[in-house]
Amino acid sequence: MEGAYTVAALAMRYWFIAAAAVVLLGAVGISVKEYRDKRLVLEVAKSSIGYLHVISGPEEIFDENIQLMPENIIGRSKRADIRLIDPSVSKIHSEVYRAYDGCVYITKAGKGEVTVNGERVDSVARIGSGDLITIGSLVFRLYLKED
Amino acid sequence: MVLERKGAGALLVFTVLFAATACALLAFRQGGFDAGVAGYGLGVCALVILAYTLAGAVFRHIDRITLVLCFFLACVGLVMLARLDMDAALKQLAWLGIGCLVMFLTVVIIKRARNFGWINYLLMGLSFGLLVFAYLFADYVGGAKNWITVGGLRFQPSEASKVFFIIISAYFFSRRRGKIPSALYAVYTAACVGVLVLSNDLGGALLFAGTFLITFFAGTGKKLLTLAGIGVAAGGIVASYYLVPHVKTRVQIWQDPWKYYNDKGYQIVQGLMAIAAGGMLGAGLGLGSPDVIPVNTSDFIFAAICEEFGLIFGIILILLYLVFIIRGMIIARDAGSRFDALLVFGAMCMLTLQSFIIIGGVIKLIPLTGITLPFISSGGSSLIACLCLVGMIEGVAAKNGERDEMKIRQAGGVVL
Repeated sequence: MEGAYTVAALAMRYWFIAAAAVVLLGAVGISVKEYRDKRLVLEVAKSSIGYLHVISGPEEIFDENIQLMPENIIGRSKRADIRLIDPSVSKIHSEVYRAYDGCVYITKAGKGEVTVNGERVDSVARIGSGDLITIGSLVFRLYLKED
Repeated sequence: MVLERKGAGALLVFTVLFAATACALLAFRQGGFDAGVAGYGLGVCALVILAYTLAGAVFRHIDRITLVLCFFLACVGLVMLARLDMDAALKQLAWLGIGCLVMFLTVVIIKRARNFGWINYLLMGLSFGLLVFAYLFADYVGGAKNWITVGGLRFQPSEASKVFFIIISAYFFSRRRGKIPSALYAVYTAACVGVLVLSNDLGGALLFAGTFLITFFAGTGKKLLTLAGIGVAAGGIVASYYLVPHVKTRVQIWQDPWKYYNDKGYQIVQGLMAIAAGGMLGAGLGLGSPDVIPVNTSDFIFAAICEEFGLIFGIILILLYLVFIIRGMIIARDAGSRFDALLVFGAMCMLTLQSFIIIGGVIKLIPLTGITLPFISSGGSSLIACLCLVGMIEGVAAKNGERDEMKIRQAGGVVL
């Protein structure tokens, strides 16, 4: 019995070192990954001015939030910052931006329709938190960050 | 935009497996199967899993990695204690349970607190009073006069003072407090160090002085004053070498412990021989002879661990302390207020210094001063104080997490 214990204790030395090493390397690995991810997300969150919540639209984006940066070109084109794949959306449909006065505006850039709280936008309109915005047949609720 | 918070569940699994397998091995040490040790092992695993799960469920943004690291270190201590002294191990397990409750309570308090305001002055009086009380009424244990015995329970009042000292320091360095309060704080710190030196608790004195200097530099950024402080501390150490016989002996033993092998150097020599006997891979759990090292369950537990688990394991333990410290520093850097940042920084400094002083002493890097190894050494008051410091760190981490989540939510993101 004593011999068996000695063999087991000697063999388990490797396991104990391995377990400690896994905890150490795991802690380092998770810390590094978590640090990077958090920094990236917080940078986007910091520069974002708010988001558009999709109320009605294609299934892929339905009920999602689309982050708004200080300048956003919205459209179907690959060049658009916010790409909405829907036949009712023009290639370059609209732009949402924050002007120097701190207010946020939406412009109509293409042939497609843009409305804010049911009113059609012909060139540019000021928008605020809680506004209901339609771009083509897609409906969004706007949420702006409070400063 | 999704921020996925990383759980440390996998690390917890390895922690629990480590404790379970080590206790299972120890259960067969005496020849037959010892159900008591096996039950103890189950208790350790259950407590760690329960505490981790509860912490994650109650405090969503707690730093899970810091928590698992602290539990892993505690498990190493609990396993080693079960091998050395089962009674001490059972007590330690109970203290870990109480310590976890204290930690949760600290997290709740720190999450709600701003900077404790006038309470700091109360804490100042209380912590100094505890040190003076210990000086006047405590028993001598291992040369230092810092143990109070009440109804069979022994505790070190200096451990509670340590925790209060961190809060008070963070309060005074978080912003300018005017001449009289600052002078009061300076006198308080000097008096605490003085009382600790008089009680022969040199480790404690070094810990207070070191934490004060580092927090002072972090809080004020005054290089010249910090250098002057280091000069005063160095002068104090040199003076104590000549004035306090206890210090002189410690330094002489450190210089050549072999010369005092049969007498005062016995402990350190046994520690060094134990570390050497273990070698790189260790003698195997239960196969070494750490019983010959005096105070092997508290101050010299690192030597006992190195003997049975090996030097590589010992180095990994030091690196785990390092990762723990780095995570603490990240939490301090992200903190929302200077008080929170200095609180975490101070707690981290204290744990770092404490680990350095005792591991350095055991491996003969610096003169030995009796102090516990955070989370590992046996000792209820020390474990509770350390878990209280972890509670402070976790409280600030929880605050940071909530703030980050709010920022991400405002930008339309989610935190999973």
